[in-house]
Amino acid sequence: MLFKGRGNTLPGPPVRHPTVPFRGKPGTTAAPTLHPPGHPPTPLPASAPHTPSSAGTPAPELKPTVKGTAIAVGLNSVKIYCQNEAVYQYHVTFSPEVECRSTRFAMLKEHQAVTGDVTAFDGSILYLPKLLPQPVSLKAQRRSDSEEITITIQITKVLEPSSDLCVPFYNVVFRRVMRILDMKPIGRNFFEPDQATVLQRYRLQIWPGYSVSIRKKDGGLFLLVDTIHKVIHSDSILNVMHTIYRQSLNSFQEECFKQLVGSVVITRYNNRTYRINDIDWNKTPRDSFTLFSGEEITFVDYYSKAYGITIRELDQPLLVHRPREKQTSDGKRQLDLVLLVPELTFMTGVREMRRDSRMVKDLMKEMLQSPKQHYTCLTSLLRRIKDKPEASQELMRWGLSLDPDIHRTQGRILPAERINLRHSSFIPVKDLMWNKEVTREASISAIAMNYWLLVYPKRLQDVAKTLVATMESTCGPIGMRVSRPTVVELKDDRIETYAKTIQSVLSSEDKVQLLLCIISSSREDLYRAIKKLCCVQSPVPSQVINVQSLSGQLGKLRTVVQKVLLQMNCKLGGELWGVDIPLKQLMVIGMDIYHSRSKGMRSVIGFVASMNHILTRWYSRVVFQMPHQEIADSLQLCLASALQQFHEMNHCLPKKIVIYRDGVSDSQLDTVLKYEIPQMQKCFKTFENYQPSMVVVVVQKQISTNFYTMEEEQFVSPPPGTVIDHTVTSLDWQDFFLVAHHSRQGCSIPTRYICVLNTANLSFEHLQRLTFKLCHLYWNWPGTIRVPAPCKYAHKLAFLSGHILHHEPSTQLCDKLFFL
Amino acid sequence: FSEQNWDCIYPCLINFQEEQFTGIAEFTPPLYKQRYQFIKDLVGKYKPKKVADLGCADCTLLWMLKSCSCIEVLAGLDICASVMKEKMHRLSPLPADYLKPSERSLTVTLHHGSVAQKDPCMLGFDLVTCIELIEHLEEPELKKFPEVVFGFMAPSIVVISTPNSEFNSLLPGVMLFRHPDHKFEWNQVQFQSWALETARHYGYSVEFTGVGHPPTGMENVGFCTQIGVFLRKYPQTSESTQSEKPTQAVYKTVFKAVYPSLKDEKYLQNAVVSEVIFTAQIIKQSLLNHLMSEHDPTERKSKFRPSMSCFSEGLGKLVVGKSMEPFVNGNVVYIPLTTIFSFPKVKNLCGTFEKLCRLIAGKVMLSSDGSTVMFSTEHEN
Repeated sequence: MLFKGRGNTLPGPPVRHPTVPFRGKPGTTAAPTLHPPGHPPTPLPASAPHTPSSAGTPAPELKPTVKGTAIAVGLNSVKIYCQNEAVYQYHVTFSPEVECRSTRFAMLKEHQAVTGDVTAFDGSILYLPKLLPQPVSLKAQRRSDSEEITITIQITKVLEPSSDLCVPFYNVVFRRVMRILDMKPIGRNFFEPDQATVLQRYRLQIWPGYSVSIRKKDGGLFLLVDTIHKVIHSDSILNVMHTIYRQSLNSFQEECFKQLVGSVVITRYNNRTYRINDIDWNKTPRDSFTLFSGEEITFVDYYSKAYGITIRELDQPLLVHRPREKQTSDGKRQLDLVLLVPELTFMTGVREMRRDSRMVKDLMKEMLQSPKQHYTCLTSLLRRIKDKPEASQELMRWGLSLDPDIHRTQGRILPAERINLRHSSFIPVKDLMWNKEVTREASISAIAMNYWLLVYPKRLQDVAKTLVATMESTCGPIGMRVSRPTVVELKDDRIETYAKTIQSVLSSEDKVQLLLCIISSSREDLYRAIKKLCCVQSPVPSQVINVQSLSGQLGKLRTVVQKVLLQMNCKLGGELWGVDIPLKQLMVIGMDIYHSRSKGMRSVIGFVASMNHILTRWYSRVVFQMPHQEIADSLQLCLASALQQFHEMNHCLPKKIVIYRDGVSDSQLDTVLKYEIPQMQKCFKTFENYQPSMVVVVVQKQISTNFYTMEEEQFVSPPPGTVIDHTVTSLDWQDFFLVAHHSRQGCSIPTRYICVLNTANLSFEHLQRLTFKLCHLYWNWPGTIRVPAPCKYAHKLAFLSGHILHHEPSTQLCDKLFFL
Repeated sequence: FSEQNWDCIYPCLINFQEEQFTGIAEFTPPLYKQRYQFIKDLVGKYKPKKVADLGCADCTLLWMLKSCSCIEVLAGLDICASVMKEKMHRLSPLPADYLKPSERSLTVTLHHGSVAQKDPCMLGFDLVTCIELIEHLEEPELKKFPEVVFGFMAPSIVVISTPNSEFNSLLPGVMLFRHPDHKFEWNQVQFQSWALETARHYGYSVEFTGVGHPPTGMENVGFCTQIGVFLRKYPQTSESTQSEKPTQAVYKTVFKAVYPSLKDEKYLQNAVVSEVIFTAQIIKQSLLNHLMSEHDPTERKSKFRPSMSCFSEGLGKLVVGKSMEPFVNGNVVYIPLTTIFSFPKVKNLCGTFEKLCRLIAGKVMLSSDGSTVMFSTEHEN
């Protein structure tokens, strides 16, 4: 929908989003669950680090590269110095066997005189910063049965102190440092509620905080620090319910369900967070539950006894949290229901429905940080650690110390890209925006709008007239021809009126190129009805405009109409602009995934493949998958039909295929490599003697790495095109960080690209440049965006199909960008 | 991985661990819990404001006591800093404590030091507890202990618990002492004579009790844990305390947490402003509903379902000031501060009307004379 809200049509200035504030944001789809059954993500410690080579990928060693303008950057990483010579790994055995882990902990603790008081022990593997004389054999008595236990401590490895085997317990140590600084842990992160900003108008508080983790990177051991915020309601859920009750008496229960279910809450009596899955209206705090000891106790008594909390309202319902299924040690499935008392819980985050643009603006104002403010926050944390002796001593126990400043290094700015229009080409200015050029000069190709429908309710007659007139007067410069539309006037603006009329017109006319609808307000149900008709039932490119975006002065209207025209041209199959693509016989593919918020809904994968040499024609497919279902089979089909289409258009098959895969978390990289890629490669066999080379790049937007650059002694966001491919890059994978977009406010977050497969001998530098080029090609935004255009297209497509249509769009539209 | 999977903590002997191994079969709830509950009950009875736990170990008792609303100062003392550090962070305020600051103030402090040494930070307490402490003291320390606790600290109440050796024959697996670190274990006569002598010397009365009842028929064995509750006979004159007390600190503070409280003006102001806005919104809503029902009397007939009855209160509680009533003018609802002040919650928070005015100044939109809260009818929905 055009201009429904800026963010829906235009990617907008991609700004730094604080980690927690909103849920349900269309742009922030979570990573998919791609794990085959019985193949959970491997936890980090203990097992050897997985390397791409062990997984059978010939990803050649390509870094570092040298070209590009050098630029000094500061990273949100802090170098950790290891002062110990080594960390010693021991294997501890108990004989006879001691099953209970806490008993093992206790027994080893008794021998502090031998082990020293700096230990990391997981029940069988022991790490010490010192070497014990070998062999060590100790005695302990088991209290339960007075049995004498022999503890043997056998050295297994001498590790570099920066070894990744040490990283897990270094992180435990660092979490303790944060607590020494009086930070409050919530989930993985730390917050400072005493530094809260209170927004009384919205009854919200914003807690500043940090996400911290110690990681082993190419440049050694680093502390990755980022500033984050938590938005939290000042009122208990019970108060929120009271407010809902006052506002919507009649639909109280439904309204509570809508506003509360899905939220994450914290409680008054512990540090944990829970997601609300349901509300149990038949239960009250007077009901009882069973304690571990088998004792039955009411909620009221329990909270009074255990925490000294008096529950005031005895008639409130209870909130239900269903934890994920846990596997107990004996393999049984355990499913505990957690019941929470609304009076004792507080909601975090802001529900989509409660948001209004003013609230978002006010919240963002509090949370957005300029690079300078961000830097100040990071260094203040470092200073606090340094100034608090207990904190630095805690690290020093393991011989660790932190650099007093963030890590500074060199990045590169990739060469500027030339933008090609039909008759002209140009190098864009510094912030990489070319709005003026695309609205004044002819697009590469324009589809003449000879036969199109304009649908609007009667009372918007005048607006429709002005719209058509403005379209006619502005289409010339961009090279479009717009004939008079076939006008369909509706008697009112009810959904049925729109639906019935559109349906009957489309079924009687078969030459319609495009349908343009004006609607009187932003209504998702109406939008959905129109899109379902035009994308599924009677496939035709469609454009929906909210009348509010057409109001205002003539100058503004012209700008809006220009954008609508450009967008309609794309939907019709026109091409707006391109960049120089030096690679021959190339196909670029973008993939992204949409996860529905509601339970039981299928995830949707958008698949978009380029069809011509200059990457201006795209072929798209959509795959719906059940939860936990493997997507590999359907990908094979997508790729096969994309290759067929490519062949039809070019009379040859691509020799190189570059795939950008969005929506994959670190723990799923192996799944992509081991399952997805081989499946896709299978489809090459369906073509005779066809063995293209392949590059697969995973695209990660939600990352904690961040960098700035210096400008006149001040930290600022790095210029678009800044790339970092060393120091903070992964030891296990080929990856680089690229800031392609220009951000007007806040810190710009780079996108991380992980090359998991490269059989094309594409050099790392060329891959970076290709990626940057693709970030120029998203036609809904005359500028660079955060991710390669095919990823963004795939994202739009998956969102439209999953969120709006709940259905696969018709294949008749798959050669056009109908989903923009 | 999580913190639970890694045990890289400070090892030390935990003095209640014995019970987890030996006593659990005998007593439900476990004996250590019974001892802590005994203290909690005592706190409920005497309502002390300042409580110190000597030999606080992993701070479990302190953690339980922090929820007692009478306590404003909690202190722990232990000879082993690492055992205190192990779980001390559970004494920190929770995130939600900042959302609903409590009315009382609360400071929790942990000190590293010996009960055989005097430190002025232990002065002025109402209750001092020594749970399973004295049996860990070497003889010279035990000798100094009464002077430090009863003579120097001199709280109104002292509670001392220690194992009753007469009970040991009933505990399976106990050879000499219940725990290898115990320096002695007294029978009832030994403990009581020590306690009576101490009480006499320092002007306390003492009552004996215990937890862990002996089996029927063996009542003469006594409680498994014997407890002496000492009450100071005479109120302490502040002058005599000041003159002879040394001021030099010998304990090392290892932890200090100050809880957010409405005693702190910053949190009080937040709470008041929040309550004022909340109250004003209730009034506004009911005004608007009232106006609406005048136009259409059939609407808004409330249907209360039983399970929701608690949600209907807000409307009924409306108390309207006599002099001036809230009213709607155009898009603005005017609500006199006096009306808002008449709400019990607001009144309780502020105490006086003047304080209410002072706290909300600049935080809530007021009429020019400052007597009325102004609210736009628009910005909601």
